[in-house]
Parts: sequence; C-alpha cells; structure tokens
Amino acid sequence: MLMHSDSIINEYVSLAKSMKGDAKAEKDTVHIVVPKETLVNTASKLFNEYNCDFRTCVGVDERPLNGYFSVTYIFTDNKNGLYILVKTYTEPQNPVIPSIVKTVPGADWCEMETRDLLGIEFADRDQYRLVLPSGWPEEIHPLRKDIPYNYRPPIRSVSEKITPSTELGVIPIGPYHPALHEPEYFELYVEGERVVDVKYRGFHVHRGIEKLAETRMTYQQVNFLAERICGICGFEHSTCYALAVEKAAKIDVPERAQYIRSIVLEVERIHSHLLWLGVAFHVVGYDTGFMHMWRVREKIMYLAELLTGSRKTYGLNLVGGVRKDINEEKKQKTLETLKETEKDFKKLVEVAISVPQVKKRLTGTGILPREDAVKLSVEGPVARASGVNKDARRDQPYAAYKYASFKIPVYTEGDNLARALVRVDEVLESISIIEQLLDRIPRGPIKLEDFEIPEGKTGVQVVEAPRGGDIHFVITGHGKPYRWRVRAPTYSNIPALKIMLKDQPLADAPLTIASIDPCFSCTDRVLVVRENSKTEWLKLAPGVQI
Amino acid sequence: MNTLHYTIYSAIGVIIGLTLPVILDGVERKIKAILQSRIGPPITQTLYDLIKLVNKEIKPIHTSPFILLYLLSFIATSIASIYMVETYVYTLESIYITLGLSLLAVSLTSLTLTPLLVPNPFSYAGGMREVILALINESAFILSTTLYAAITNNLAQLKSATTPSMLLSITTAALTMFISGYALTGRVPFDMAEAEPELASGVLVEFSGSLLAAYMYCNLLKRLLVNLIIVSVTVTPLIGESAYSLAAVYALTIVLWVIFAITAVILGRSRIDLAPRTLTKTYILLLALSITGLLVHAYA
Repeated sequence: MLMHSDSIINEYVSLAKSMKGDAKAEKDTVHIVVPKETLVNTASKLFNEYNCDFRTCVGVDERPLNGYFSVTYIFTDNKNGLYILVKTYTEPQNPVIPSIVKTVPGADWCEMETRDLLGIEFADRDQYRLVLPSGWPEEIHPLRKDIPYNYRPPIRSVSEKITPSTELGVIPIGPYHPALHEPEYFELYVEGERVVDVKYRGFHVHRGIEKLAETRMTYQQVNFLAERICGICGFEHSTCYALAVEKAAKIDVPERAQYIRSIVLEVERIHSHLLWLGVAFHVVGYDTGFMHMWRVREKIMYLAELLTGSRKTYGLNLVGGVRKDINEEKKQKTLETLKETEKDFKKLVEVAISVPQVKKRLTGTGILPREDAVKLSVEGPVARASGVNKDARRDQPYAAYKYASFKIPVYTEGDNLARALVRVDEVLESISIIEQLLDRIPRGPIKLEDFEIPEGKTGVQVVEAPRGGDIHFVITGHGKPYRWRVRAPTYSNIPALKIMLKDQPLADAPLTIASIDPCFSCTDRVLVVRENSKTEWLKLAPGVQI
Repeated sequence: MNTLHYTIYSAIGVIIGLTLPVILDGVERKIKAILQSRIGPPITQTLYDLIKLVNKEIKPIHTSPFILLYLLSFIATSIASIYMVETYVYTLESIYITLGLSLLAVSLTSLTLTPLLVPNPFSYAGGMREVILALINESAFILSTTLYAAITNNLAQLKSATTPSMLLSITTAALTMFISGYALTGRVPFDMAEAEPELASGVLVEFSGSLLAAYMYCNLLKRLLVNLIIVSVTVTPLIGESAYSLAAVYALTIVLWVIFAITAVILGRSRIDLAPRTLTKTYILLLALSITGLLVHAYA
C-alpha cells in the first residue's frame, strides 16, 4: 500500500470544508460529504484541478438508516493512490440533485442508471432511460429498499428501435447480430461506406444482480455471484468484491492468499487478451491468426485448471482469503507452461501483425484522441492506447502487485493497432508478473477463519481487469451487503465508441467495437437464477421469457 | 479426334466441371483446417451442406421474381462457357476462348446483380461492394486473358517469345490474369461482399433453403470457371492438340484451386475502399507494361 502523506489528505479535507462539507480519511479512502448545492463545484475541482480520475457514481436508498437518499461519486487520485468519495444527500419526497455531467462527462451513464433504479432525478441535464426496458413502469425503482427483490411489475411491449425513420442509410447492428456475441444494439448511420453517426441501446440483459445480493445472499455467497458477472474476467469481479468488503471491515488477509489472487488474476488477463487477439484477427478475416491464437490460449486454460480446478469461473475467492493453495508441483508446471506460451505467442504475434491486411486495417482506424479518453474517463487498454497512463495495479496497488515489478504499456496513437499492441505487451508483462510472484510467494495460511464484518462501513475497490478498472462499492449490512454496486470497464468505454466510429469506414465498425473488448454481460450484470438445480426464468411479461 | 469423341469428351468435361467445385470446396476447407492446426470437416462436407439446404424450406423474401431466373441464367451461361473453353482446349482457336470469356462476363453479371434485387440494407451494401469489385476485376481479367491468349495461342509463337519485350508482355499479362482471377473467385482478401461481419452475411442474408444452396453453388461454379479459363489459356498452347489435353487441364485446375486455397489462408480481409484502389493501380501498371512490351516487340 502506498503511504499517503497527511498534506495530500489535508488538501482534500480543506477542499471539503471550502465547499461547506466535511471529510475524513480511512487508509486509502477519503470520504467527503458536501451539500448538494456545492456538489458540482466539488466534482469540477476534483476532475479539472486535482486531475482526479472519475470512476462511477452510486445511488443508495438510505431511508431505513437516516431517512435520505444519497449519491456517491467515486474519483481516484492515481498519483497518490487515493480513492476520493464525494457524497451528497437528498430528501426522499422529491429526490433531486444537480448533475455533474457538464463538467464530468463520464458521469452520464451512472447518473441515468441511478435515476432508473433509485428514482433520484438529476437536474440540468438530458434525461433518458438507460438500464430498465422501455416498457417498465415509470414509478417502479427496483433498487429502493421498499421494492421486494421478486416484485414483477406489469410490462408494456415497446419497440426498442431508436430512430423510426431517417434520411441517412441505417445499418442496424444488434440486438442479435453475428458480429456481437451478446445482445446490444447499435444503429450506424452511413453515407455510402462511411459512418456518420452512431446510436446505442444496451442493458438488454440487466437482471438486478445487485438487488439479489442485497436481499437474498450472504457476504461469502456474493463472491460466487460476482464471479458469474462475466465468463471471461469473473475472477477480477470476485476479487474486487472481496477486497472491497475486506477494506470496509478492515480485515487483513494473509499475504499468501494475496499472492495467489494476483497470480490467478494475471492468468485470467493472459487468457482474456489471447481470446481478444484471436477475435480481432477473425474480424479482419485473418482466420489463421484466430485459430493459432486460440491454440496458444488453450495452454492458459490448462494452466487455470491446474491452479484453480476450473478452466473458467474458478470459485477461488472468499472474503478473508482463497480456497485453494499452490504447491511446488503446480508452481513448476506453471513456470514450464508460461515459458512455452511466451515462445509461441511471440512467434505468432510477429507473423500475424505483419500480415498486410491486418496491419492496414488496424492502423489509423477507430481513433480515440487523448483528450476524449480523459474526458470520458475510459478504462484499461482503451485508455492506455490513447496515451492515458493509468493502471490500478500500480496506482492503487492491491493483492500482491506491490511485490512485482512491471511496465505499463502506453501508446499515443489511439487507434485499433495501439489497442492491440497494448494487449500484446500486457500478455508478456503478465507472464513476467506470475514468474516473479511464484518466485517470492511466502509461506503461511491462505484464509482467515474468524473475522467480523461491522455494519454501515463503506469499502470501494478498483481491480485492473483485462478491459480496465472494475469497481465494486460496498456498504456493509447485517450478514450481507446493504448496498453493492458493480461497475465494469466496458460501462466507461462504450460511450467512447461514438467518437471512435464517427467518420470511419463501415467495414471497420465491428473491428472498432471489438477493439474496446466489450463485455456487455459485465456491463449489464447478467443473472440467471438457479434454484434446486432448476433454472428459474425471469418472466417480464405474459408470454415473454428472458 | 472425330466429332463423336470430341462431343463425348466435352460432355464428360461439362459434367465434371459442374460437380468438381463442390468437392474442391471441401478440399479447400480441409487444407485450411490443416494449416490452422484443426481437424476440419470431411471433404464431402460442402456436398452435405448443399443437400441439407436443398431440403430446407425457403424463407419468403419480398423481391423480384427474376431472382431465380438470374441464378438459372448464371448456371446456363456457365455451362456454355465451360463448353467453349473445352472447345478451345481441343481446337486452340482463340475465337472459342473469346466466346468463353464473353459468356463468363454474362454469367458474372447475373450473379452480381442477384443480391441487389433483395430489399435488405445488408444485402444491398454487400451487393454494391460486389459490383465495385466486379467492375474492376472482370475488366482486368477479360483484357489480360485475351491479351495473353492472343500472344501465346500457339506453341511456335510462344517459343519465339524470347525477346525481353515479349517476355515482359507475357509475364505482366499472366500476372494480371492470375491476380484478377484470384480476386474474381471472392476469396480472402476479396470476400468483403458477404464475409464482413457488420453486413451479417451481406449478399447471403435473405437467402435460405434451396435458394441459398443455388447461390452458394453458383459462387463455387464461378471459382471453377475462372480457374479453368486461366489454366486453359496458360497450359493448352504448351500441350498442343491432344486427346488428353482436357484431362490435363482439369488436373491443373485442381492444382490451381489448391494454390488459391493456400493463398487465402495466409491473408486477411481487405476493405472496400482499399481493395479497389490497390487493384486498379496494379492492373493499370501491369497492363500498360504488357501492351508496351507487345508494341516494342511488334515495331522493333
């Protein structure tokens, strides 16, 4: 953990006081509470003057605790390794707070999500429905505490088509389309072969995963639910959740467990990047590259199974540690597999990137300029390919990353090639990180047996997933989280697609969409409830099953 | 060779020409699989696919009734074109290759226009891409093939072609013929009318059942026809008039198919704004060199 100097923390305390608010610091988190009249100024100062990175915002129904609704805006001070939480309250009768979107554009989606799910209005901005389906009743806000988790409101069937008619040519991509592996809807407006505008509608698979955790599950069960948010980076989510709860409860997890978490996180990163590179080659018609990249990836899948017992969805994390240890035999086998993978990967990338069509189509397409990347608070390889040097593993070190030495690849071109090269470099860095951690892993227990989780504590954690920072925000409750908010990196990266796709050739649209490595299920937080080994479908309307 | 033998051989040739593409596509898929470290489907898989499609229902599309007529026209003109090319192989008379090329042009036009009759944005966008590519490649293919055939339509002329200018003319015409022929077969990197993911199968999007089977078969037949013309034009003058020349031409057509298949494995897909530009520049340069070489040889 970075040492946080008093002077830096005092700066934030002074800022809070100057905004007629209050602040307190706990470890790496500064909690600021301001009246809603000064919220916009506070956010503006943090974003523009303190150069804090905006991550997301969280609405909370605190009526059972103190009679108010609250909204917390989460910033990080990447230079000093601090989380800055700016909270404001609003009265329950007419919950309205001023929007910060005009100064912090990245807050657009999280404000609209809060409006949908908690019914808190945001003044002085465009209002639209983001998460809930169009036919959902206006007055039902499912994350309010007085709405039961199993409440099924009557749904009207409403067309999801964004624009009924237009003079421009419209190419619909989605909700079901061969270029998308999950349901999302893009409308591309084209003139000839050039995209001139883009509209987006997502959240087709939002299932109220947070509501389920807040009502039906225990702290430990939520680990396994969190891992099922994503079929690719699920372990990042469960780690992020566990770390957030451990931070809120001030639990010191055994060091060996933190090493194991970091090792498996890096295995997951390698697997994800190899998968993405394969898909990217497929999208540009270079299927040989796709097949061989997935052949290399297969070794990593084997490695995941060796270390965790599963190729995916490892079920390894618990609050307080991990469930499986790494013995000497696994350690040696891991090192051997990594050596083979590194050799194969380097050879394959050298050939694939030099295929003329691949190079030509990746270079100079889907450009995201640095200023837009900063403005929209994009995450992960998308940010680093546009010259934004941020990575939570270094900036807010967690698990065992402080014990490893690694480079953060940063490119300035902001195009599809830069995003591909960031991932290529990261695969090699991840191999190096695993080797270092296996070499230094300390002896000791892998989990805590007894610990208490006090109520009413807040923990927030960023974990650098393959696609960027995952954020989990937890307010502790009695035996389960009182509030749990998940924000996947794709949530921050999708709004940047509008800039990346505009004035680009239509043929590169799937490649550019793929270049953010979108995970729509992460973003939407998919959930299928299983009870007694039987799948229980959520019925939204008579005759409609989702 | 008497007329009866010639007719029998040609008829057998046409039947082989109509069935071979289905098997060769299976071979191509197997080659791809081997080069990509996969097992891949059996070589009869394309045949199974087409049989399955034929037995499936056709999803009705609101389109011109001429769509099936276009596909039938493609098959009929392709058969006629194959017959003309085979006649050229036996007779070495350039009028037959010219007729074969003319029929090819007609058949390709039918095939290219088919998706434009389908009222669907994906099909229309894919169809327009096909038209752009066809305009460039067909012209270059017909021009270069005619040029090459005119220069080398008999062995004596071919043997005398030892001057640097003539060699330049022949080589550049052959290169244009191979490149444009490869592009006409619609393999990677020129499969952008149907394979680009944003088009959701582009020209194929509304076709189903036996209509899709017919359209896919026509595309395979197009590949064979183009290969057959390239091989006939390049190889027949070397073999001369022989009873086995048609067998040799078909054997080498298979070899050329395999070469094209391997080429497709090592390339990625181009883009509709890049490929036509690059191809046009390449064709203009090569054909200019070929014609210059010919003129220098004629007037030197």
